Amino acid sequence: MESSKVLDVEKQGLVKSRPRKIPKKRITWAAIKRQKLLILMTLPFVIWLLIFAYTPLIGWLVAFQEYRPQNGFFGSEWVGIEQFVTLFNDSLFYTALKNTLGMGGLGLVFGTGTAIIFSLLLNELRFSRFKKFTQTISYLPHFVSWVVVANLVTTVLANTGVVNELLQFLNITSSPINFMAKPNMFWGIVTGADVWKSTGWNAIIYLSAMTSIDQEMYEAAHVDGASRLQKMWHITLPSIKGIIVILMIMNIGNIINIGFERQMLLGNNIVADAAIVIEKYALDYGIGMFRYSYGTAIGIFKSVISIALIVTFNSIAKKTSDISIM
Amino acid sequence: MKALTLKSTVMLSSLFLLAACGSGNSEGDGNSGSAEGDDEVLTLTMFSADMTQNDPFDNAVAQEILEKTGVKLEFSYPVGGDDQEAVALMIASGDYPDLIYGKGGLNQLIDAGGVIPLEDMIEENGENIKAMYGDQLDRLKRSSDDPSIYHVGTAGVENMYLETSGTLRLQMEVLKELGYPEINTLEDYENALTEYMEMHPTNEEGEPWIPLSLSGSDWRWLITVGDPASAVGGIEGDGQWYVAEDGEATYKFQRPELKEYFQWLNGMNAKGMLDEESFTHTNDTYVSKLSSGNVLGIADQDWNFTEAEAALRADEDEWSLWAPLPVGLDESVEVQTLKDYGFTGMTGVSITSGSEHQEEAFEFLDWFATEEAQILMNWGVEGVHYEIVDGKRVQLEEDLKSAQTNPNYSIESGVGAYIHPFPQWGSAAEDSNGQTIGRMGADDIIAQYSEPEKEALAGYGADLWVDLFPATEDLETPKHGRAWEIALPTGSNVNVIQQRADDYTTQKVTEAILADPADFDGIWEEMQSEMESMGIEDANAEMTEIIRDRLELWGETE
Amino acid sequence: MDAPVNKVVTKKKKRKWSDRATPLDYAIAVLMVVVVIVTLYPFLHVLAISFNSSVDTARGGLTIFPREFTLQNYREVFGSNNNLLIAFRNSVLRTVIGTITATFCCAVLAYILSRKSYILRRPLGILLVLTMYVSGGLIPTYLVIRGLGLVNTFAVYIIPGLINAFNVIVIRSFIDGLPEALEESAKMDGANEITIFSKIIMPLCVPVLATVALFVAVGQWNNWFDTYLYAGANVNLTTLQYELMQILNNASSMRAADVSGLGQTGGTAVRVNPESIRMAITIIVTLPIVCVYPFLQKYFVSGLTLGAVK
Repeated sequence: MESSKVLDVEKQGLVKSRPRKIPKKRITWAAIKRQKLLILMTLPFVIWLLIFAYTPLIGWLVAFQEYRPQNGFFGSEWVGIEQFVTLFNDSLFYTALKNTLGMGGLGLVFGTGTAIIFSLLLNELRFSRFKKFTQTISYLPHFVSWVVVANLVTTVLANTGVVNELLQFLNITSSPINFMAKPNMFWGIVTGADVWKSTGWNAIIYLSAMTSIDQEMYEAAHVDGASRLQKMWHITLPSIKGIIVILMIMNIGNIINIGFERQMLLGNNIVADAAIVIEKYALDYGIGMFRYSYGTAIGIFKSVISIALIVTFNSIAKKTSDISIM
Repeated sequence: MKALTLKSTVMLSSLFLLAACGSGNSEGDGNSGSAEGDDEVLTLTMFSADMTQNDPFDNAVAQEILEKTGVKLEFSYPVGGDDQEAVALMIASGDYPDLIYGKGGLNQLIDAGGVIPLEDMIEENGENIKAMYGDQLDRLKRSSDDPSIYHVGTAGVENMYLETSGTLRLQMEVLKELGYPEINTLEDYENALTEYMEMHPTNEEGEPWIPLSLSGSDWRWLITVGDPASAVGGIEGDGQWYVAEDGEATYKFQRPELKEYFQWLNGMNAKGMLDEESFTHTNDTYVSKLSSGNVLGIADQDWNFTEAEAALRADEDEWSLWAPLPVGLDESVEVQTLKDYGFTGMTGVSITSGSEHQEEAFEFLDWFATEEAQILMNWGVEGVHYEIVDGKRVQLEEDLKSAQTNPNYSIESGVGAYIHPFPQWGSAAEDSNGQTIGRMGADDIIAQYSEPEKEALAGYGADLWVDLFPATEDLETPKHGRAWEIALPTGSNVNVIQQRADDYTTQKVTEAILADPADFDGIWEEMQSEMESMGIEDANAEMTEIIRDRLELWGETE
Repeated sequence: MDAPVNKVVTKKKKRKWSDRATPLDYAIAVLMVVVVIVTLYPFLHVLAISFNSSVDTARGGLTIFPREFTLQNYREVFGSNNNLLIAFRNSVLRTVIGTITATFCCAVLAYILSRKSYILRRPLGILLVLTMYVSGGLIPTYLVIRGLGLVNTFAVYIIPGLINAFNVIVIRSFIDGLPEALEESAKMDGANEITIFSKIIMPLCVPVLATVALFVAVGQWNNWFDTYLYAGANVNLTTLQYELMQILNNASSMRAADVSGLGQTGGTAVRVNPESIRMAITIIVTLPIVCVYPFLQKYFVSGLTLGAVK
């Protein structure tokens, strides 16, 4: 009974990640009438979404053309899926895809992981002034540009940098390691820099979720003799599970949209094979050469992958925990 | 803040759809210039891809332009720093100003019908432009398929070369210690470094020297590794290409000259004389190394290490500056640094199809080619910026001071602000009195040298660094201009293959330089066969055709 | 073991189960000190560069103290532009108005999506979620905004940013986490959707709304690209970020002018290194956010008790 009480608390629906009964929905006149206020409220949003998010998608059609500005949209030749065929036959594209998904995946796992751990620990921090101070400071790197971060990272990892001096001092290595010249370390370096830059910022959302946890639960658990770690594990974490899963799903869709700024700034010509990402590829081989159709095709490909990923993970999440973003 | 060097590329990456729905709806809806009521002041709107700061067009030179021509310019410019994007948007929306300097976007503007052909106007009313370009007028033509002229300007017609860029350089201290030896080959260069380091194994603080450092981690690879390789090999400035006299083009990394230079770098690396971080440090770190005065040798474009020079000058450590040297692979190589490529303005100011003032706009552009205009643009207003002494223009003392201390000098005074991208005579052109149009002459450059520079030059018996190099007059002007300036046809094989080959060779050459010398040949061979399989021969053939087309267009084939 | 949700707690609760700091507390505190050092460092580094002479900065090796103190970089930023006041006003306006309107719209949409029995819930949800992963690209978007006549109006800062799928879903997930009992009792009292939204849901959502407001505000404050794209021609609509971008741009390309041989004026004035300008600008734009943050922070760090807002 002692330690299972905490779990009981969870079971009784105090921690709101339990499945709820969803009433069967059928579009009937009665339902429409009953929900006319909601429908009315929905209308402006649908219009907004259609205009600002979906109308521009008409431009996707050029991916099926060999678009030339001089011919205009209507005068350009329709080529079917030729752009996609070219794309899928390019070995560099696969290298870029691998790197993008690799770095995107690492960034997702470690970015989310550190942000959760950081917010859990910060939540446990007792010295309230220091707590606020820490949080304020921790999100500052978010505003520091990648140019600066890249410079700091390469300085720290240089042959004469802090890391190498430390390794040599500890006799772990006899001669300095040129970290930036090791292709197999590149993903790790990017991920590390990313974590450094964004953990505090990413933690904001988890911290805000923690504020809605009912303090009574902690007290009840305390009465039951639960330790701090147990409370963290059985109350805090399950309470923010919903938002964790939701953010995970949304971010999984974005592991292909990781930009290329940090890879470009941290990369160099030795590690180039590990550093090229889809968006850089699209820039260099699409728009950079005025191949608009090709660039658009890459954009469509990315969207398709994103949507496939979120649909997959959303349905997994829905089955296992009844959390869904749609 | 977004990194500016990235030019808002994140946004750009979403710029897939140029004018998807846009081209062909250029209604010219009143966005073009309108004559402002009083006294024939005509306001022409102009987009300038190279402008970086708003210019209200109210400085002394601008007022003089208004007085002489009745035209007031109203500028717009790409704030995000990305001019291609700005041009793409203009095309998409069809909102054009009267005048456009589209830079790299010129071809897109032509394709979209945004700008008009000028050859008829030049023929009828372009007396000054015709006189200025002379027999180089053909070089303004677009292509053999479309031999119209759509732009004027951006490059001077007659140029002189008083400064170098992109050569191998050595610290003047090294040259002084060795008694100003002649350094014309890689061997000389390497020996100088070795000898100096035997004399002084470390600097005054006991730190080791960095004999040769490069900035090869990002795109600057091209300027500190690729370009010096061509320069040392005696290959003219055709970018990634080698162009033979008959117009036959070869991708330059197939050339033996390049191999020889990289092999030398490989040897330098093996001997520990190449900064081992040359391909991993960021450019800022590179600049900080240079600024320390510890780097003895560099191979770089002048503009890439101006901060380091400024830092050394601030320390009054001018002996640590680097002297440009005419280094070739061996004695037989004639270094092409001072080559005159002829008129190279492959882009420039165009008149838009929607403009309601095309005739006036052309007259305005033609006026720029006059002597009166060129003196105004280069020297400013008489009595304000210069005075006439003994029939010669002499810059006023306070103007000189202002030019040297006020970072906004150009836009506030107007001097120099309107040379580029408009039609211009060029730095070597002379006015009717025989005085050069350009304000910067040899004397001005010498006046800016520090004492150590003057002393080092005296050691070589020269006045200017360019005196050490094969003179412009001795180097033939190539008939095709510069290959890198040719805008490759969109989606063409050569375009895609070159991009791929550039990406590949940058990596592979780096690998070869850093490899064990025994492996160098193997890596080089591997690179050659990989380039073949990328279709580099097709690219060569296509490029050759493009260059021969150009020769024909320019009337350079007999 | 009754669910405590039904209790009415009227004041903020302090954690009173242990009154003395344990070794664990100190361990966490030490760890957090490390985090503070590691995350403060880059910012102090930027601060140091911004106050350091740009010639000296080129020498590298700068840490967190300026070596050659100067205000020149800031002077360069503030001295070269006359529009900064207008720009600052517009930035504040767009941030305040944009944040209020966008947060409100996202909250309403989130509320709609949180109605489990709503017949259009799923199609609407899909329509919304997809917007995160599809983009028509810059130019089609530009054409749409131009077609709506929003170009060169203040509304262009507000309307296209009203809905952000990410923020909507975050708020929705928060609403999903609220106890159903509250609104069920309200429904029994005959409250309609609008009353439930404004009287019950919104007050409970303060922490998440504060978070979303922060995201929106930072986005609004930092955005210069829309000014450039849609309002660059109208000086009365300029924003701080846009003006600063121009200054940075100008500093960078003064050097580029030397590159392309455009600097034919003979001017040799020592120019401030664009990196130094960048650092000064980073500080200038970050400072207001750092100042505003503590005010928002109290909404999501102090910890409200759920029952408090019945």
